[in-house]
Amino acid sequence: MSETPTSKGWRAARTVAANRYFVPLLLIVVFFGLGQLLIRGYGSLPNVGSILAAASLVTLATVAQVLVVLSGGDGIDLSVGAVMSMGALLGPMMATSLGPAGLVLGAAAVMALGSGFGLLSALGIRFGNTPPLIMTLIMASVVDGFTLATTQGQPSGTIPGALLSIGRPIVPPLSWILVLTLALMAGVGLLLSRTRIGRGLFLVGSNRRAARLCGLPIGVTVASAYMASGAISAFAGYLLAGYSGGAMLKMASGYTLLSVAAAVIGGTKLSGGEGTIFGGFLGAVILTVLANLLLAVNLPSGVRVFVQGVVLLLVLVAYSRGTRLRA
Amino acid sequence: MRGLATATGGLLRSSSFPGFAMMLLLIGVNAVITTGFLRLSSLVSLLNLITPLVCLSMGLGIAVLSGGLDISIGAVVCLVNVVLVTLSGQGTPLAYAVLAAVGAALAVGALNGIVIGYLRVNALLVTFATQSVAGGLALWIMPLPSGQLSPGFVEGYSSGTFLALPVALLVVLALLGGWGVLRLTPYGTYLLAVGRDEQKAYVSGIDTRRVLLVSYVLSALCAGIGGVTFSANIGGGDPLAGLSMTLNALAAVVIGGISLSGGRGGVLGCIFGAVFFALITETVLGASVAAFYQDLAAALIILAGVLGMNLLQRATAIADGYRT
Repeated sequence: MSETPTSKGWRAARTVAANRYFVPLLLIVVFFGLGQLLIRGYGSLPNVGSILAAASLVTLATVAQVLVVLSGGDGIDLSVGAVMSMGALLGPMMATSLGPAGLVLGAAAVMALGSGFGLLSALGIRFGNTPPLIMTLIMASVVDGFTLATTQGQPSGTIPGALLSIGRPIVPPLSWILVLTLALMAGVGLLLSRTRIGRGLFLVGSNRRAARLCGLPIGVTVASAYMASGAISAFAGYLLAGYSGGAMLKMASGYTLLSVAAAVIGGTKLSGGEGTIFGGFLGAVILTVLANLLLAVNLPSGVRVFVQGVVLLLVLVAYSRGTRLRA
Repeated sequence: MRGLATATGGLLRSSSFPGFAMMLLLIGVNAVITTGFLRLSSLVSLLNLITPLVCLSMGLGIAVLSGGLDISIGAVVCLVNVVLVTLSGQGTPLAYAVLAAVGAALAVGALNGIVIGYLRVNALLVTFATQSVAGGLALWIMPLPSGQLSPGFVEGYSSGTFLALPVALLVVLALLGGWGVLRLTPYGTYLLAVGRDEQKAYVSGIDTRRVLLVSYVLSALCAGIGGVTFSANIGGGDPLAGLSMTLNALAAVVIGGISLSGGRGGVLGCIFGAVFFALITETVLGASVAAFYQDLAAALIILAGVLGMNLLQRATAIADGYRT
């Protein structure tokens, strides 16, 4: 901090670099540039659109994760993937059985189910004296078991036509799934910045005792975060079924830890109370571009998973080191 | 009499007691509902089956005691399995193949320990990344399930005995003995100190970085040994089969009474937790639950077990005036 800025340009550069979105944005540009170098047409609008469509699903899972992590108390939601799988399997089933308005009603129904499971997690954490990591981990197997029991292992194959087309481009790089995701991000962002409970979430997450002294309803705030996470995850699963054109048991289990990684790369602190929805979006885009790039250069799946792990490790080391112990 | 009372009190207050009680409960239930459950041969085959999970949860227990987490252990099992099967398929003597496989596990553990301990990155995220590293390597070496282990190795594990004790039991006892020795060394004390409060441990002059490094190497060592027994169980190579064990081990650790915030509990409890966890499947099968409801029933039993255990622990802590 002791060096003096030498010129106006230098100072501007430092301001940009100090922005919390600088590193994530830089990573996205680097990955895209690498793709453009290696593959013709990687940066074309249709390809960017297809990457953003895939990133939308990770984004939704990450938004769900960010809300729970923000609520603090070592909050983490390891049931995101299981609730997504449930949304993917049960959502289209309900949508087809609920008649003309089924497309919306089906989404609403799985979101209600998802938030119900979120509430159960919150209750177990609050009254069962169980850490969030464990509670939501067990909730994930409860949800998976519930999905298996309700579908009797035979998910209905029919997915409404409108849902099937959400991944296709409207005007490249826009697709319905991306528009819906951006709308949901905006909605959640507004809730966080404009409502009492949304703003309270940050204080509850960073300092429970201070929040209690301020008279904030801690139990309700935290439970709302878990319920919102469940609802958003279920919605993400519903869209996933349309995007991938089918649903399988546990199809989305990989999204759970991906959402945690995306949240952290996007600047959310796992200790709670600090993080943004937009950062989560950037984190999700980074992880999706990385996966997509490795897929596009045609590496065998083992090498792909390996490189993905190494890059993630490097990103974490470069970017999310803990505080030093020496005071 | 007083000695007995103190001993009983100590047992009741021990962090692994709830796990022990729940394990006994499920053993009791199974003895009633599953025919032939208590026969020696079925007990030994059950022991062979659950030993990999027991090993993994003991190692994970050490990582959790240090205040962290290790979710790369399932991928380590995959890597160990693949290295072991590939090398022995190429005619490498079995002992060298086992050593190389466990060496690969130790390398993953050292990577975890260096990044978590020295570079100070969150353990959950680091081990998530190294899970891809180790799992990717396993897939790279062996893209599809293939290969077979020598029948001698498989037989030696499943029905071999030494001093009339089954091999699987000896593996568990050896790990438990190792833990007992470790607890007596300075490292054992440092481990719990770092787990309870890393900052305080640091200012007390403990080399917290090295303690963390050792913890993750030990976790990977246990996962490596678990991977060898797992390979003996499945008898061949499979680059993905071990992955699902991570979360099962985590559940076992929690049921075993190790606090996720670190520094509290002991590895003995992990054994009870792992046995409890493994017995759930037996119970659900024994109670002839309809096929599609088995997973839900098993999940609900785990939920009830963990909630019950946590409430029990809180109750004893309150009765004890929070004396720990």
